[in-house]
Amino acid sequence: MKGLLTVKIKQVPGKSRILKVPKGTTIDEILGKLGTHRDRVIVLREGRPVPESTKLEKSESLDVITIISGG
Amino acid sequence: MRCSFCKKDAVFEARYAGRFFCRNHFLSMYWKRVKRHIAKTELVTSGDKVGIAVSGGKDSVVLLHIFHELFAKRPDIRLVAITIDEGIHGYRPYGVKVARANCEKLGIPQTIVSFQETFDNTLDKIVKKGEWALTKLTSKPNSHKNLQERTPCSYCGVLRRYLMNKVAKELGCTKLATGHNLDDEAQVILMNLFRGDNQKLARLGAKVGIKSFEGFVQRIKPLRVVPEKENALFAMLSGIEVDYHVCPYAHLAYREEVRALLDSIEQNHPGTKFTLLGSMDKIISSLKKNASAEGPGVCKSCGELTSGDLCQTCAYLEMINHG
Repeated sequence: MKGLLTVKIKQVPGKSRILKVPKGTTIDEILGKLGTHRDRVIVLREGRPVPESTKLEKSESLDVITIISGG
Repeated sequence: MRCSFCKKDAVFEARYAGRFFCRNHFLSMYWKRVKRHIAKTELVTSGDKVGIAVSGGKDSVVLLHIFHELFAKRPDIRLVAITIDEGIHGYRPYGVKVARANCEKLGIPQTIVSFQETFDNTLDKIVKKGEWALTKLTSKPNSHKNLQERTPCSYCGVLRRYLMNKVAKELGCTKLATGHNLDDEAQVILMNLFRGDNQKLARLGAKVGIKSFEGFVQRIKPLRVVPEKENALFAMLSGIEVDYHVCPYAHLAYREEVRALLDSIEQNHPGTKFTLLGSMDKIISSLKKNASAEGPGVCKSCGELTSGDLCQTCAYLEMINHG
């Protein structure tokens, strides 16, 4: 799949996943593919929080931390 | 993405405000909002002894740190922490440990009480006892209301609030602060609207309740104007240790359905949660006027205040122990 970025995702709690997405995909769109929502998680890139409207320009790794816990 | 104020790398986008924030500007915005809310609503006043409900989760631990920063040096205000151990295997022990570590770090005295020692039951045991009821009720038509009343969160909420109030009274607290955030508040507004429960709607606000009664410690919600995510981000950026374990019963709660609905609307219409809270705050005073504010009676079983013969805690315990 030429032209696609490889995004390694570590969900906490949860499993690690690898997604192939087109260049320019936003983190928000990736969260949609994971079935979650920006208000339920904090996304870290290289250990730093990033806004969800950030567009991915290269293959990289993201940590997706779920922040809701109670009922 | 760059900070809207200084062009450093942004760590957060507030879509409801159309702005990006770097670490420092986020923390500054966060503090400003919380301080303004606490001052405007006069949540803490001279002479108060504030019990802070600390579960170990992000909201309550952040609240503990904020109150420590704002009030620990004030000689006229005292802070204590109250932690309830509901007895949820694989979840609560982590929270209790984190709550204890934060209290020790800040030098805030902490009281830990458990469902087991108070009710001779853990939430896990209660859920196990209630499984028959869930199975039975789901097969009946129109059983939604009964089923709702028997979800783990319903039991847990009632017993926890009872225990919080009891401990806060025993400690001589004049206020009981909880870490409810904007998402919690928006969800509970919708839940009460959907249920047509005007009495519960009228109790909402920064200061909980329609009027104060002796026997009920005034509950306050200093973080109700802060989105849940911003509490988590504040903790992360401030290096505060919090517990992110997920309650195993959370997915059973009605709240979870409402949360999904609100998140979906917020996605397409940023600011909806703020607007909902703001609208409710505008009409809450008239709701309070119209709501029944009769003084409570006394529970014939435990002696705590109640609107009926039996308080909800004793009614639940009766149901739990005798089916």
